[in-house]
Amino acid sequence: MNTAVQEIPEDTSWVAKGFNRVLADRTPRRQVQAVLEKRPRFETFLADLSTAFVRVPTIALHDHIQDRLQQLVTFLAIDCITLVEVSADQSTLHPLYSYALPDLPSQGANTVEPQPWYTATLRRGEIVHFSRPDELSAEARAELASYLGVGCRSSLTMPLMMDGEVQYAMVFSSFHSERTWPDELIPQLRLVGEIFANAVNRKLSTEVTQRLQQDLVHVTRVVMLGELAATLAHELSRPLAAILSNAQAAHRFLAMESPQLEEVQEALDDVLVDTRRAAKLLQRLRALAKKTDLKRTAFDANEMIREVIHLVAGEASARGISLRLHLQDDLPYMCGDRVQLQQVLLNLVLNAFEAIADVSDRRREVLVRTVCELSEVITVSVEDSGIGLEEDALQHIFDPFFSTKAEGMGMGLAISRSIIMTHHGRIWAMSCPGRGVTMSFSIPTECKETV
Amino acid sequence: MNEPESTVLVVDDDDSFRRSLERLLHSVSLGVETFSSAQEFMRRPAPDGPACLILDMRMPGMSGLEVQQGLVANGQSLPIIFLTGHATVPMSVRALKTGAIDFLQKPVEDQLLLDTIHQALEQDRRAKAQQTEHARLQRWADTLTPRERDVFGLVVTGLVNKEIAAVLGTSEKTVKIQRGRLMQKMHAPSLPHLVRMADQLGLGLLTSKST
Repeated sequence: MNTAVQEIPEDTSWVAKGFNRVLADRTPRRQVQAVLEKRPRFETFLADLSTAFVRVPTIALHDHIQDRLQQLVTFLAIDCITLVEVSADQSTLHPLYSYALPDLPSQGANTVEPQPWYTATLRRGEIVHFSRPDELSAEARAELASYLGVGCRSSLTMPLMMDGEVQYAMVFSSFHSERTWPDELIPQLRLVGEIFANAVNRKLSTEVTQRLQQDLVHVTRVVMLGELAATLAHELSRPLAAILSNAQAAHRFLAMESPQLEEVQEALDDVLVDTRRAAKLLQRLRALAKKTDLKRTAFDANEMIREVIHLVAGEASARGISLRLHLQDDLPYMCGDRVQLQQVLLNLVLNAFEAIADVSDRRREVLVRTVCELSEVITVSVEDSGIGLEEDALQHIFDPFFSTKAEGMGMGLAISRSIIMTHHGRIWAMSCPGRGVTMSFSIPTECKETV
Repeated sequence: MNEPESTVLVVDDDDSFRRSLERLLHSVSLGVETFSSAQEFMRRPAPDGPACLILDMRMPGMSGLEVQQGLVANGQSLPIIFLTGHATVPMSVRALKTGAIDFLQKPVEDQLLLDTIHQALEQDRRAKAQQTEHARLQRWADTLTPRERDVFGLVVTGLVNKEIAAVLGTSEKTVKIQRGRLMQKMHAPSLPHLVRMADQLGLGLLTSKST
């Protein structure tokens, strides 16, 4: 069993020594010379690699990792490098990135067979390496059979720590020739591996965060839907009830001794109108329930607002709230994800409804406004005639799990803010205590990417 | 059952649903009046003939439950059928406790709705007939003297004239005369008729308590 635990030495001369050894092992003198001349480039390569990964935006990391892996293969004059994920609870390795020279046989990197010995060794932080397959124990050979079967002659697997745990490993493989893995080379491979692992980790954790955020938005949407379900059931039952009664009336008019076709005709006309009314409601519901990525488009903000208002109009009248609109004409298009921004507005309007639920000494009023300033941003505000908020509460209104409502989850505004942030917009609250709250958000008018 | 004077009153803020219901009720020759709000309905004088009210639960302004409470407060016995798009259990319990005929969910099958309407109209017809009858009896009863009223109460418990005289401390002959006047004023052809009237007027109960 060829395993060894290696530490990064403080002396950095290993870089040069390591390279000398590697090259001496496998290449003619001429090539040694050639690569030695390239030696200073290794530090440059590392520095370049790490700064590049830091600078590259997360969204571009994937391509970048792949490109740099190819460069590393060329640079180390090796045949194949694979970056794998070592999961804590599984005995299989999950390949994340791989680059192999084009003339190699397709290798068994995608194997899903359990490799308990291999993964356990790596998880302990031990390097697995062999210069010739026969250096491996029988157990190891069996586990790596598919790998060896396609012609791997020497290999080194470097476990990579992340947050105090082995989470990744980098597999360096040689197919064309056997090669040794001198001690001096180890720290160097570890360093390179860690730079890659960091980048991969950043990419994966951003993905997880994004997924969580999307889930959260989805969850609130579902919660809000729950709150709205009663209203929507009511809204949907109206056209359906009318359709049913009309159809049944038509039946009866037809079944009469002298069928009253005019009545039937009128009933059918009304059935059509109400069917379309129901279908429109469903469309809105679907748009709300859909879980989607950010879809930036240019759209008419006033129309978007009217749709939201239409959804909550029933709720408003049931609560005795007068819902008013002051929409500026001829607005430029708003740029963003229409459904998500609708979500934000819906949240603000429902909050406003809550805020004035207990108002009895004055009109219960919610005013929705649009204003366009300098034609660059459109501001949407929702004003309520409630009792307002104290400065203290106002400060924390966007914090997660902060709520002034008895049954509030405290997520609505936090999520609203995260949605507005992804739109490069702004969201804020103002309040005169005793005279209600105005919640506003502003969104740029131009879609730079799409227009 | 389709008496010309029976009316179905519909209060619903949805124009299209009102129209469809009106059409359906016309197709079975029922008289319909529709109102788009509770306020509009409340301005209408109480109908004379048998009537029932179909009420939407959720309406802007005044809710269905408030209309029901208003009617009960005014002593109006109009049978109410609630028809609503979304009903919560507490809501329906409250409505039924206050005397609603039924609580139906939109959309509603025509046969169920029509059966319920007929049941409501029948209930209102009977209630109205009873009211008329009761009012007439009350008018007659109001013409009785206090002593005739006493005799009325005792006669219907099954006492004979002699026993009544003993209770009231008067002669059997006087009781006989008072009893004759009582039968005449109440238009009662026989003792059993008088007993039934006492029942309707709530007299029997009073007397049985006092004896």
